[in-house]
Amino acid sequence: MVTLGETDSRVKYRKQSEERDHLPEETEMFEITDFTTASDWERFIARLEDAIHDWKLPRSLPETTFLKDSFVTGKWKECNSDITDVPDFEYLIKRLYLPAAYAETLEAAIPATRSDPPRLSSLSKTCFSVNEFPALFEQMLSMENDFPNSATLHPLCRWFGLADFLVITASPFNQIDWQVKEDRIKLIQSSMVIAVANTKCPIPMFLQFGELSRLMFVGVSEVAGFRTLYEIIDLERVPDRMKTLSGLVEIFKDKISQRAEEATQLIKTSIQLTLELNPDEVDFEGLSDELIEDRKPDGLGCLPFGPSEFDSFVLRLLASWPNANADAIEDTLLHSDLDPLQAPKWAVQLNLNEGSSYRLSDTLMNFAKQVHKKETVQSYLEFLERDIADANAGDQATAVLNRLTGEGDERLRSRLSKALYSRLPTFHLPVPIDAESLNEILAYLFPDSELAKDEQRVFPAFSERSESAFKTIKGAPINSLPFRLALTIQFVFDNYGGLLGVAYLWHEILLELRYRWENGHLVPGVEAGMPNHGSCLLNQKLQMLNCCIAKREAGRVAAAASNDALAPVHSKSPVYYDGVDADVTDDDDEEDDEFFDCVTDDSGSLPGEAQGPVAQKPLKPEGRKELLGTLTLLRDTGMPLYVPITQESAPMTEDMAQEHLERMVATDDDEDGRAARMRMQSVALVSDMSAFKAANPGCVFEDFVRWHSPRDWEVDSAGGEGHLSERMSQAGSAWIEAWDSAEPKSVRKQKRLFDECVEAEKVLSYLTLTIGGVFRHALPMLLQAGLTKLFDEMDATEISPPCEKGAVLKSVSRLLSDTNFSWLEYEKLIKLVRLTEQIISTHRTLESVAKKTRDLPDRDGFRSFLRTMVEARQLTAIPGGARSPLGQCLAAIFDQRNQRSSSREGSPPIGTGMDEKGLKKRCLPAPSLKEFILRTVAPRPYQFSRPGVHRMYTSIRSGEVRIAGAFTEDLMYG
Amino acid sequence: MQTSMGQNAGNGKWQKDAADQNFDYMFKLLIIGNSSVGKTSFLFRYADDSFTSAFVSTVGIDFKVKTVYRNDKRVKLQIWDTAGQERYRTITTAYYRGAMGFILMYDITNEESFNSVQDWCTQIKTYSWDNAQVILVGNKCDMEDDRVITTDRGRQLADQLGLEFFETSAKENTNVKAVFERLVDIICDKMAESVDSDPSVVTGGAAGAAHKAGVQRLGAGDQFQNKANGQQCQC
Repeated sequence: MVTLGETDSRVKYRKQSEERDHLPEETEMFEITDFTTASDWERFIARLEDAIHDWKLPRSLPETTFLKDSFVTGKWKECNSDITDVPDFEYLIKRLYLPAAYAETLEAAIPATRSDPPRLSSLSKTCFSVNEFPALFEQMLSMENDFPNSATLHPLCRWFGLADFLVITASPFNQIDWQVKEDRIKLIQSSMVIAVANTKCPIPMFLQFGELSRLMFVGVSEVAGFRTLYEIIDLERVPDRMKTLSGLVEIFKDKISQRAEEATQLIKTSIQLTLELNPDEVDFEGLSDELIEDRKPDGLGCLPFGPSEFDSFVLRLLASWPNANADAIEDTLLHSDLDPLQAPKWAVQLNLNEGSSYRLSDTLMNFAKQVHKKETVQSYLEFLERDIADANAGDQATAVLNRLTGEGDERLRSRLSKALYSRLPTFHLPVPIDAESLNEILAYLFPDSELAKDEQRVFPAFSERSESAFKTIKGAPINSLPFRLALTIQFVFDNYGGLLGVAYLWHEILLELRYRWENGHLVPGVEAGMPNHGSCLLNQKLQMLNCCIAKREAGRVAAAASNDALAPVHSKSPVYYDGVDADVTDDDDEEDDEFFDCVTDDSGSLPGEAQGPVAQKPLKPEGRKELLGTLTLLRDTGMPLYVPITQESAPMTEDMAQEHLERMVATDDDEDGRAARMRMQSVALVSDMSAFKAANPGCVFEDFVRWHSPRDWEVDSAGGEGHLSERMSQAGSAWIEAWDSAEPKSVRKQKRLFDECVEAEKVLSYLTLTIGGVFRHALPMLLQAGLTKLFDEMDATEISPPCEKGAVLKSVSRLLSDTNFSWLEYEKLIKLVRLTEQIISTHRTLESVAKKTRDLPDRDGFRSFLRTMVEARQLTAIPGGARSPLGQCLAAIFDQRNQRSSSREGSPPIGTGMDEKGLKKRCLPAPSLKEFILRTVAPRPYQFSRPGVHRMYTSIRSGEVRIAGAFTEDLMYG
Repeated sequence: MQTSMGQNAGNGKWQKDAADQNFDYMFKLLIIGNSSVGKTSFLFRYADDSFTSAFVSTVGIDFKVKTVYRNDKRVKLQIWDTAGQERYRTITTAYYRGAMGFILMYDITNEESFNSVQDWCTQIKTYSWDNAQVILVGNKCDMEDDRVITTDRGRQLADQLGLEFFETSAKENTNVKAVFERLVDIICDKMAESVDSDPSVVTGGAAGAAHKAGVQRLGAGDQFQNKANGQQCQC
């Protein structure tokens, strides 16, 4: 009827709007209320029906029953639609259903279940012809999916046992339905009744009202002339009547019929009691202390591990009575048959709390998040800075430093005051790290300093992992300075004012590095040698700085030792010396002088020498390193050939090498480009040649080739005259050009290929980072430390953790070698770390609980059970319940007397004794959740009506009782 | 795979234009080995199909570019030629990182160059990216009269080091192309393998990493760097 009216009015409406299009001048006509058009309410019903039609919902549900636990294991499907065009009736419609793939046909199911005690459905079927019994009733009666064990399942599935239903919810635009108003709910409910009736839709339809989190629904369904109404009661205070099974059965009977006694025999019930063991509530002797010990703030040089708070998991014991006769169980306020220890079915489940935070994974995540901070370290310091002008004079700066580090801290001042090369900020706010802590931190980072020797503290160190894949991570050696820097940054970030503290720390570190550069102290804890391109850039930069310091110191030592004292030690451009043994070579030179003075007269005639003006006067050989075998000069027969001291090739960090390659690639790929590239790189060659000429007065190009590229000096097989190879003797080749341009100069007099002053300044200015840059450069080492920690913990545990070491290392090494750090992959990694951390610490806690539990019957068996439970984290049935060995162990774990025993040491708890079966009486905690399902088939509303299916689910926990009832009326005889 | 590459080559589908900057992937390769084993000649034979008995001895490092087709993907090879002299060892190792493939070359007429192979191999292990692929090449196999290293010795050493092995002649153009084709093949296989073994990381993961390791900021202008980074390896 409504549909007809609706269609009519729609046609009218359309006609009118067409007219309106044609006659725009008549628009004011529409101000008149036209009572023949459909109301919003009617249009809303029509939209509901549209949705049902659009989705092609079946006219009848397939005659299937769902497999055991298919609610949990199956993959639910969802359809969504919305109603947006009806004012005040904006709703979202959703269909949620479990595809029939998880069901078996009734025919197949019945033989399997025939051995069961007579079921309600078969009882009720006597009232129907075989094909008539609605599948919906079958679902409501099915016990295969009572108490589904899934947190993500829609509550309606749990409450009503439904596998297919529609839910409408107010859309966010809908202002009206956010408040609960009885009449409004009734209005929508009746809309649903009409829609369901019109479309003959067999699928129950629900309205969710009120706040979404309260999970309040009303619903309706109509099948085979039965209307089922679904209602929910949710109370905060639990009335006595609702506390017990007996009370609930009374309510159930009342609801079905005024004359309760008639349906009594048929009421079946499924009951499940949930007992919880929460690590928060565990009060074993010493256990809490032990666990709290784990959570102490970690000191410098460590990474934390484990849960941040206790509620990281719950161990649930599910005791259930499936399909019992409701009247056979006595459960009143005075006496209850429902003792979990007597329950026929037991199962345990370990639930990990998804939301609880774990400290190692949190640390790694929070650290990485700082990478994006764009502010400079300086800008953070300026926040602390007050009077810049004050800091210009040296003594003032010292005073400032005193203020900075706390008065009377002589050690630190003397250590750092020399580094006051520039203005030092004055801090008017309290500095983020107090002097004592700062001293400790600096002592940790720079263990060679006076400060550290005074501190005399031994800091924890990480032990190196044996996994070879660790070496593929682009980080720094374990426990090296960059490694400790990362840990320190993390420590300061967590404990000393976050980013501000880190900025301050970084500032201090830069001061220290500059101090070391200016005073020639090597930075400790940095890999020796040239920058290792297999390590991270921070490590390379520090290596570079050490190269500069070493070079400069070698120069100073040599200069101080040399008699000439060519340059004062603090010269702005120290004379180049190669190697520490430069002074020794000087002595050699003097010996050689006498030897050579008399024979180098004719050196001017050599072709190479003729070019330079220096060649005119007799040359004093300079910068010799060693004899080159027994070779002698070609022109000056008898003169031994010396290897010159050469300039070492300049150390390069990765970014410098990259830059160099970029410059080369930018040139053309032809002969000209080739020549240009060769010129770009010939500086080192020319330097070698100059040094060679200086060390071997009277030498020729051939001599040089014999040393530098011996294979280009070809000697005939007869052993006679040698000659240059074809490629070296080509006139005008780059080598000969270079030879001609090289002046005899020992490395001491040469322009340096590697200017340590410039390079050191470059490093120091590079390290003037943004705050994000500090974190970015330290991240590789923090990950190294994090993985080391994680793997150590993995080795220490007995369970097999969910992550595979090789794969984790591979992923980290990929993350860090990639130029574009992939956040997605990082998050995935951290998720895995978190899960591993959670499982390991959960297992650890359970182990300690088991260890503290007295009289555990089968300790070893139980421990192995704990392991599999933590690994699988699935609902595990305990066959035999409380009577099985495993059940007895669980009862012991849950036994409250066991937990409290600490307070009454010595005296055995009262009531300990054996029950008649020889089992120790356990005192289990009160169930945290009681669930009951009552089912029956009974005629309603009248005795002569056809019998329909009724179901009532109840859950009782402290502070909440929820009853979800589905009651069916016969429409035909109602 | 090998045959299809061969066919491509036979059809002359290998790109001649080395300067072509349109490519799907870029691989950075390095040729290393003792002085005057023929590295530069080998490279010129491959890239320009030219040969001179006397290329100027390389100073430091140098490069040539060649674009090839592999399974309908353009692969740009940036091949770096290095100076073999002792003095250049430390300089050149600075550029090992980021190379996806190495051609380690010795001269079959020169015992010393063969004896150094082990050292070069150690250098690669120390300084290169971990997944870098290496092929051992005995060059100058046209000079049969002067041969001092038998093919068997070469192969034996290659087996021992776990490398693939070829004997080549840049002068007579023997096996030059084959070496590069094989190297490109094994690099692609390695990339595909690391993607297969961990399918979850396909996006910006192993392929991207392997790929970028070769591509990263090698001076190619932004324009084609973006192009290269945007691609997934489907080798």
